[in-house]
Amino acid sequence: MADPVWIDGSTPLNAVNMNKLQTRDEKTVANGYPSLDSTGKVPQAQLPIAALNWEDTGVTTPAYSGPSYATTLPASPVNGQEAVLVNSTTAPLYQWRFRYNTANSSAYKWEFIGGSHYTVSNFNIGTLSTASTWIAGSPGLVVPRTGTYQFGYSCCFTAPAQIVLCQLGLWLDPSGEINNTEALVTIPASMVMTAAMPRVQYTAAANAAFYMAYWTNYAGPTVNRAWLSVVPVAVS
Amino acid sequence: MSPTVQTIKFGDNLAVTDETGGVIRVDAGMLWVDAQDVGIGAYPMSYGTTLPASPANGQEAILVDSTTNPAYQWRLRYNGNNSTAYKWEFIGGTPLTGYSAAQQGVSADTWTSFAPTLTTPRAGIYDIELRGMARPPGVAQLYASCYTGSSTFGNIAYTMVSTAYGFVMLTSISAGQVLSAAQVISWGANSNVAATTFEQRYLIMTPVRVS
Repeated sequence: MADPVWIDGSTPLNAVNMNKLQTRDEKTVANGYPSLDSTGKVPQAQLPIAALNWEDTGVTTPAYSGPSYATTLPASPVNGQEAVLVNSTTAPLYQWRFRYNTANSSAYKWEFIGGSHYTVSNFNIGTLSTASTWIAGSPGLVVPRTGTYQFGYSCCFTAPAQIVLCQLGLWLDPSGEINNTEALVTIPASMVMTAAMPRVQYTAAANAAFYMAYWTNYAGPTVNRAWLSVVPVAVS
Repeated sequence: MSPTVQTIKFGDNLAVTDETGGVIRVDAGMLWVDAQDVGIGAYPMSYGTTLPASPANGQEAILVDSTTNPAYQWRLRYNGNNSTAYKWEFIGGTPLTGYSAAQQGVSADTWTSFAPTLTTPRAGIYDIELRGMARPPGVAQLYASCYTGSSTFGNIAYTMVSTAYGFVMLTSISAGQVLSAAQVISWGANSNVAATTFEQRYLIMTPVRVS
């Protein structure tokens, strides 16, 4: 039945007509109608939150959730963009946070701004049975990106029954021991000494493999408690 | 009333504007926020002596031991996909460092625990650097290590001194140490010569991941 058009002196005030009107006490209550504010608009509190859902017909993009976290860095970064690089998203051995600096004049524009060391260790290396030759050995690691890194490493040498000179260095595979990365110790017979290099900076290619390098002037010392650690400075 | 999480989907190009111009803009998949129009201070990164109890994947937080005079600040990112119990991953900050200048002696061939001590704020995996000076009264083999409870753990630094009262430095890194919450770490010293003294001792602890 159509809504009534009121005609003075003609339209009856009966239930059929009056029940079609909404009364003022139905305003802002369940199954009623919303009020208007002083600007003639419905107040936000009277709108369902779901009404804020909207969607266009284009390709959808996930909402921004901070720097990316992945085993690769963003392919087309903008200046100042940050990203976290890991070797695994489920069991990472390191987490490195980078900031992309387009003003960096080198090829390494992803600058390290925080994270943990990537450390590998081997507490039982064995005996150095060859004298005066650099020997590559465990532990070792692979750097993920081309860039500049800082390495730290240490091990313990136990001398045989005579005094020995031992060296610990950094080995870039397959090139060999890197010059000027050595820590040297002279160890009296049957004594134990730690050789340590707190920080060596080196620029390497992506996926370059590094190992510890051991040297002795007399065969027979044993090596143990070795660790190798690396953090990036900047990468490409 | 708890806020209801809503999903807003948008295309590759979109702009939300107010009377001053752009507020939020999406351009080629990147989200831009005009910091002059939107309070960046509302960025929900906590700073406190505890970590958020119910973090979302990717949430970040700064953990300190004191909000008024912190000895360390550790920025951690929650990785809900981490398959271990330690899902808060360290992505920046200063190490927690302890230092004791005191010169203290040991009995021969006996591990002794000295200051400084550090206490872990959370269960997790930590890297611990140890260093200090030693001075034996004769030719000696010297050791230093991290110490907890009544035993050493992690790496041991070895060195020797061939001259009576000669100084030598000991240093070691113990990487990837699994420690419990509130675990007390101290500086362990040993020598095969009695009355060897140790001094200028440092312990430097950095988290890798925590629970």
